[in-house]
Amino acid sequence: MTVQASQNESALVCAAQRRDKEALQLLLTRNWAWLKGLVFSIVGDPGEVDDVLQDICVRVITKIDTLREPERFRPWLATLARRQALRYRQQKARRPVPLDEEFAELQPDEKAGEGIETIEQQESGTLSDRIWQAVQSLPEKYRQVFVLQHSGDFTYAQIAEMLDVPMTTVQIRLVRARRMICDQLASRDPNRLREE
Amino acid sequence: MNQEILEILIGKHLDGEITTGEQRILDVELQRDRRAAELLAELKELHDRSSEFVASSIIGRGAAPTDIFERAWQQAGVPSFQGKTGQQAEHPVGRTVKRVGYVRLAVGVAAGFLLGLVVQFMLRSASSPPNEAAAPDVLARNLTNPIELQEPSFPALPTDSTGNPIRNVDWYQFTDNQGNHWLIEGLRESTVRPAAYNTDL
Repeated sequence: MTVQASQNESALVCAAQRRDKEALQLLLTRNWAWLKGLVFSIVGDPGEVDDVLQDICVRVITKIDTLREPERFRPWLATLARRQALRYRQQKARRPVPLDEEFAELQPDEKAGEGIETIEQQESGTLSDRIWQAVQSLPEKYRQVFVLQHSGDFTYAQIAEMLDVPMTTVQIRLVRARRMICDQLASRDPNRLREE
Repeated sequence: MNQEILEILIGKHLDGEITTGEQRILDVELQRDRRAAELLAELKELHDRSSEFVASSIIGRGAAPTDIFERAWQQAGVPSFQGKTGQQAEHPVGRTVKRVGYVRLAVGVAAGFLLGLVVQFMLRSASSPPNEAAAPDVLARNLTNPIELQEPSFPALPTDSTGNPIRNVDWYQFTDNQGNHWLIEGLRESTVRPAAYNTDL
């Protein structure tokens, strides 16, 4: 993010703290892509990302006053989003599953179009599908960095600031995430990526 | 170059984070090692596909951000938020923080003062000996102990014909810095005199 963009964002934050709805909306939509990526990397199911994003928006609207350093809006938003996504995941884990839903999960054909694939489909899937599977199987800390890196034109320093980790950690996690994805793709297909 | 460093350099190259010096090292390695070039091609493919996949499968899915924001705005009950007036609505958080700051400062000063008092008290009690006013043990006389009541018997000095004791001493005169004259009695050299002690050594 350039200095100019950062100043603009700080100005938007100040306006949002004065209850300017448009400023608040602009702030969130500008950061929407990476926010969505971050939430997905924690929740894991694209179908649930919007629900979490709505909760995050509510939190931002009600808590924007508590942000004391407007220039640190992104790390603040990332922290808030991570907490909200983790809370959602915990609540989901505790939620009882009705029998009809459980039965529906056993019917693969009905869910095929929603991202859950059968083994046959995985084997015959495109490279993008296999990357999808590999990314979803990454440990969360690697998945967060990987998805954030690909969901916006961010530098390592910006990702480090968002996740509140050192820059070298971001670098190492990215390298390892790529290695894990490559290994997983290779284990399914020895010809790896060059097949397609 | 080991595999991990190579992957770090390739990763930085793909993410646009590589420096000129690192790029030079990577270029040399790519020319030298065919497997490094293959790895670069493989990771570049993964990088490009991953960006496409994130854009289409994650970011491109779901409702529009404006719709979600509108729903959230309604859910947050913002009108009641806007009901606040004047200075209270402007910086409620800032003022709370400021008050908390004053209280914390006062508590900190009080705690520091108390701590200082305690430390001073402890240091004083540690540096002064107990029973400071009492006489040293050596000079104390225990009246209940019969041994201490006995007067020590010092050897009697020889006397001259008039009965004055003959002292085997020399006399010295000494003038101090302030001009006072002192007459000092001192034993003669090579004179042995038995010591007498009031108590045990």
